[in-house]
Amino acid sequence: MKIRAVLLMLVPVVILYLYSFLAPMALVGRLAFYSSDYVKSEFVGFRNFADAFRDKYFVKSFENSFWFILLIVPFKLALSYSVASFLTGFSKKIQSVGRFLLYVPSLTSGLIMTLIWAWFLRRDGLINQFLILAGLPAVPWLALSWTARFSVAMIIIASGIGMAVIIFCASMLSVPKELHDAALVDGASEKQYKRNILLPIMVPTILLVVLLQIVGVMTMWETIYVLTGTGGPGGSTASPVYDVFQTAFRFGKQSYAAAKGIILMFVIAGILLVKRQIEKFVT
Amino acid sequence: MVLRKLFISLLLLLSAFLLFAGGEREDVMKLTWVAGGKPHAFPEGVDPQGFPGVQEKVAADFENAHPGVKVTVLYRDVTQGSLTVDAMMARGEPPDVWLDAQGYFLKYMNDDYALRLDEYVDTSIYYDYMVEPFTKNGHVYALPQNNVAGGFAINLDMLKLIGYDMPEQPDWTTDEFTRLSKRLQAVGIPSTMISTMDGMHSWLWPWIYAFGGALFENQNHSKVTINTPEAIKGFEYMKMLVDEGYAYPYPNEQSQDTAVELFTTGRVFSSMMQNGHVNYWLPQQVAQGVIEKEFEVTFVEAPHEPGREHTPTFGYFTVAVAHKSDNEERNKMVAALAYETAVGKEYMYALCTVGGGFPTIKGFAPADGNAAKPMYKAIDQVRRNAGLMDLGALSPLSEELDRPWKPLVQAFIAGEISVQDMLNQYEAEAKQILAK
Repeated sequence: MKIRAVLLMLVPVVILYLYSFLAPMALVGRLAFYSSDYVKSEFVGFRNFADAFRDKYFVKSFENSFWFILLIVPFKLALSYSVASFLTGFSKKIQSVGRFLLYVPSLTSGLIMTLIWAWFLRRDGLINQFLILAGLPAVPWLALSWTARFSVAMIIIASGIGMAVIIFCASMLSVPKELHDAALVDGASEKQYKRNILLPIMVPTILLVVLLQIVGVMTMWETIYVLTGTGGPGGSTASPVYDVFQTAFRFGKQSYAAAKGIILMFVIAGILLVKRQIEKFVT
Repeated sequence: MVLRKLFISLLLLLSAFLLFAGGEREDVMKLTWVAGGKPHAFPEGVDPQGFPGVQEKVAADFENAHPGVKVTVLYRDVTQGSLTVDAMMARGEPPDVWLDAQGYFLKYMNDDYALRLDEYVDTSIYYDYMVEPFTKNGHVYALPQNNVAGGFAINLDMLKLIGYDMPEQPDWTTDEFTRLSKRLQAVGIPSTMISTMDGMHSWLWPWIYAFGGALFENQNHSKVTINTPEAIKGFEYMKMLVDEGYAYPYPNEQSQDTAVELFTTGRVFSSMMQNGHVNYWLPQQVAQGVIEKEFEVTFVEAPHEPGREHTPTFGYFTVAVAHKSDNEERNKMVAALAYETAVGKEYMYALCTVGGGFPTIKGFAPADGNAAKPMYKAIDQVRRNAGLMDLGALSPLSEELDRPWKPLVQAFIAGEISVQDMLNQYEAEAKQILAK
């Protein structure tokens, strides 16, 4: 009776999950094997997938992701880990205030956040005004490939650090205090404790944050849409998800976009597998 | 036991709901009209009768005129695609009528999807050149609802400041524009604004067409015709304006929005613009304290190479498309809905007098509101005399053709590649796209 009641209570969630997640996934999977404009559909087998691998813009979006991962993940990781480590040294009240303040930007709409940054990054914007005051030349932040990439990375780091800090703080606070006390009693310094005891314990969390950041970079959308319009300059800021969006909704090729989406899903699943292997290896 | 009873009761309730509330009266024909991005404001002096926009008012009038028809008005801008419309298409319930600023429906402009409207309504009431682009194999698949055109906006106060008299319109040449640019430069005013940030939608094309260059010719969108000596002259002239410091700097960082901002704040002498933008933004800039008072503006033809007659301007049509079904009675009503509401005179009047668009029905010439303003009349004259550029908005591949364009033109403006390299590379990429 108890199990039946539980199953019955699960029914709405299962229906919702089937309706809003699994069914669309299955439809996307089917669409990827067709050439369709919704009125007429023609089965094309793996043609959409083959085209995607030959699509230089799609390939470039992964290359962009690689550069974004290099620009964003180490900085965000180091910054959020250091901040979390710093915060855990304070009382619970100060920790809460710190986490709240760092998390506030994550609550702001990505579109609004990017619009504000777009204003900062203009030729006559705030950042260039500071540069000019310091006697440096103004930088065309959004007109050149690398400055545009750097600008996107800056926004992602600044606006998304709060979540990583919260994850690290939660993980650090779950480490038994006795471990810390025992290390100090055994003569370890605070620095040695953090490097030789805390850091190895934190490895699974660090890997989780790295994975989340990589997935986040590959699925960036609104920052690129607002900041660089068409993923420019020269397609240097388009993420794979942005390319899928363009293919589906700008070029009206939904089935081709579905194939690209599935490829992206497998790439992310592959990254997850690599993360698991690394986790097994280091823990 | 209790749970089972509860489950059975819920099922019974759901069945009862579906039986009594979910049914649909068979004698009601439900039609859906995707009527643009938002409710359109009523012209001054017209009683809205409680309707939020003109679209609902004309839809209600249509329902009254055709008992047994229910029209649902949906507000979606489909210009860059619409998830709602895509979802409706995907579930096999496309909107019966939709408004489209040219581009999105083109792949559906065929007998599988669209009604041959000439078989249901009188399409001869519209200007022929507006119907022609939507005519295929002798049949009309869309009705032109609104024509939006722009022109070369110039600041007349700046001309007074330097004591420059504009030559008669057809005689305004690029050589003369260079001389004017020098005089404006002497008082610190950029003579124009060139942008490349919006790709193919950027404000640079008049300079290419001024020398006889053209992206497409004769509405043939199967190949680009931009790699010509005429186009090269145009690009070189445009770059000269930037390099000599006549034009506002950093075209690669400028968009259509910054063009509006720079012109309406009196920071450049000229820019391509829609009259609606100037009408709206000039008073706004005064209200926000950015400029002290409105300056005098008019629209002219962009300058052209000596020896040529005109530089065409930009413009596009919003059209109404009607969905074809297997039910002939429904088809008749859908065509009537498109004809009487979406492309009817009441809505068109609001579009012209509130929005500043141009009518598409022959002999229909609203003369109130924005349509009475000198700037409206000036643009009207420009589009009639100079014609419109064909930038491929009617090509189903126009958005894809835009993708390789932007990086190449930006590299050219930055001096990284020559104009010939830019055009060679673009032509090669465009060929690949168009060959698909």
